[in-house]
Amino acid sequence: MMKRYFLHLFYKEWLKTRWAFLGTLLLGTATILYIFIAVENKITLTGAKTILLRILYDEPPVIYYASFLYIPLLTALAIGIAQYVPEVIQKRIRLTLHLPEKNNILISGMAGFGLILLTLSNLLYIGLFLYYNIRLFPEELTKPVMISLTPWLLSSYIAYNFIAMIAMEPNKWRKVIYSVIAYYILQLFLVGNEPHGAFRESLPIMTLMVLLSSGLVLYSSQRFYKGEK
Amino acid sequence: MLIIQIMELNYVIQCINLTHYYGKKLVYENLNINVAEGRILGLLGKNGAGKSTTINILNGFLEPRSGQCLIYGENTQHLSPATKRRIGYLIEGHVQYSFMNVRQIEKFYSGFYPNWKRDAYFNLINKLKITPHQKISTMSCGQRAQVALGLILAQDPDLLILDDFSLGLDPGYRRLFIDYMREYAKAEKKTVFLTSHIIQDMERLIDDILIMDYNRVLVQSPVRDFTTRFKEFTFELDRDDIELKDHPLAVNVEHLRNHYEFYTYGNENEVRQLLENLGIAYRNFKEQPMTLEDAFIGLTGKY
Repeated sequence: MMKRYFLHLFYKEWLKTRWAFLGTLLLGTATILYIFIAVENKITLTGAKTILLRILYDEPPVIYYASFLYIPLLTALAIGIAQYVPEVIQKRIRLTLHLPEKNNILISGMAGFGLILLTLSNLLYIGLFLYYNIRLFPEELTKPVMISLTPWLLSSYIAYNFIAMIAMEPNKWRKVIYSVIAYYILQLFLVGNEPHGAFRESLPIMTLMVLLSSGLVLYSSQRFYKGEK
Repeated sequence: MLIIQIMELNYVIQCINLTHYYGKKLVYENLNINVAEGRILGLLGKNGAGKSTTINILNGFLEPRSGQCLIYGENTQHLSPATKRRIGYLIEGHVQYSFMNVRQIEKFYSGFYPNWKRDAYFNLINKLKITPHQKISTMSCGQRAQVALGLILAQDPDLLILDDFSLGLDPGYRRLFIDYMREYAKAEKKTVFLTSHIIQDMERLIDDILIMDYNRVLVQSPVRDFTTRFKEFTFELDRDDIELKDHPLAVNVEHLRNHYEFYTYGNENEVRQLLENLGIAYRNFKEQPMTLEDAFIGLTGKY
């Protein structure tokens, strides 16, 4: 059973991240609505069949949801930065680490909260996509589209985990190196012009990368506790 | 170096053979610190003497190169939640969660401490001209200090670690903070380990003093013993080029032209005898009354 104080820790994290979270959630929702309003307008103007043929057979393919590409990443950046950067710069992280619990559990609690927010926003985005996609297109198109969206959604977890790691890292050169690594890893996830469902085969390895990245913050936190320079 | 062993055996803080370097620069070597239960110890030292290093090691934010610090018998690098619960920590500059307001921060902390004393917090907060919904980020440094102090009182820890508690406070808030802290610590038999740049504040507050200089401890003793034993004698000589610093009786000697300030653990007779043995003519020989700040500067030098 979750200890009661975790609710208090989550309360603190919520106070820090709520505007960043709600702001990016609003932006993401507005982007999805814009995407499908634009699709509906084109259907009205040129007919559903023309649009569908262009989506399925044009070279390069028409990625009607391309403007969503960076939204999960942006959500992760907003939550991660709001959660970690001021806390570390203003030394408030020391107050958190002084709370009566093991340091790794406190840091995991903070990271867990951020990942919960990301998952909530991703679930909302998935729900909106499923709803509009099923409404406007044949069911056969929905699955490949959702597969195409998955790396973008997974990129949010990679970005968040790296932000947490970079924020907690006490050495500035390591921060730079981690940022460069994060940039190149994110490039693998944020490809916006491939055919629908193109990353089907890569999803297991991408998921594994996300799982592995979730431990990064604990590594730099250990260095922080030891006062590494 | 004067180290007078404090007689109590129940040490809340014990640092044993602490050695630390930043890169190749030695901060200190084989440093030993003991803080007995119920005592208020002030750590003094010039900038760069190792005060922050010691506080960071005590708080578990720095692993010493060798040696260890124990709080309630546990290594500070691996404190259990139960021991952490017994420690109240005030960060330099009264840092708190500035995005919270007065009520939110109380609600947040209350979940972590089973013996949380809500009234102690609000009693102190009610003395301030702030509303319960005022954000900490909009408060003055003095108000923030009171919030931080109120939170510590509500936590009711057995040991308080206060890092440069007077930083940014005006004289009124400093006095309020010190009086509250002294009364609280003595009435509730709390142990306090603190640092401050303003030594006159320490004088009103501390029982024991630990003075660090580069790489070493100069004094660890009850503050009254130190101020009683450590003395300043002033006198004038005919010449201004006489060096007295190297004599074993001298802890420090400062002089401006022919006016000498002689700091020592010796007594008046011993100093007079020294001057006479060296064949130095002197006049206007006086023992100067010293505050703790005078004694600190006398011991460590002006620069």
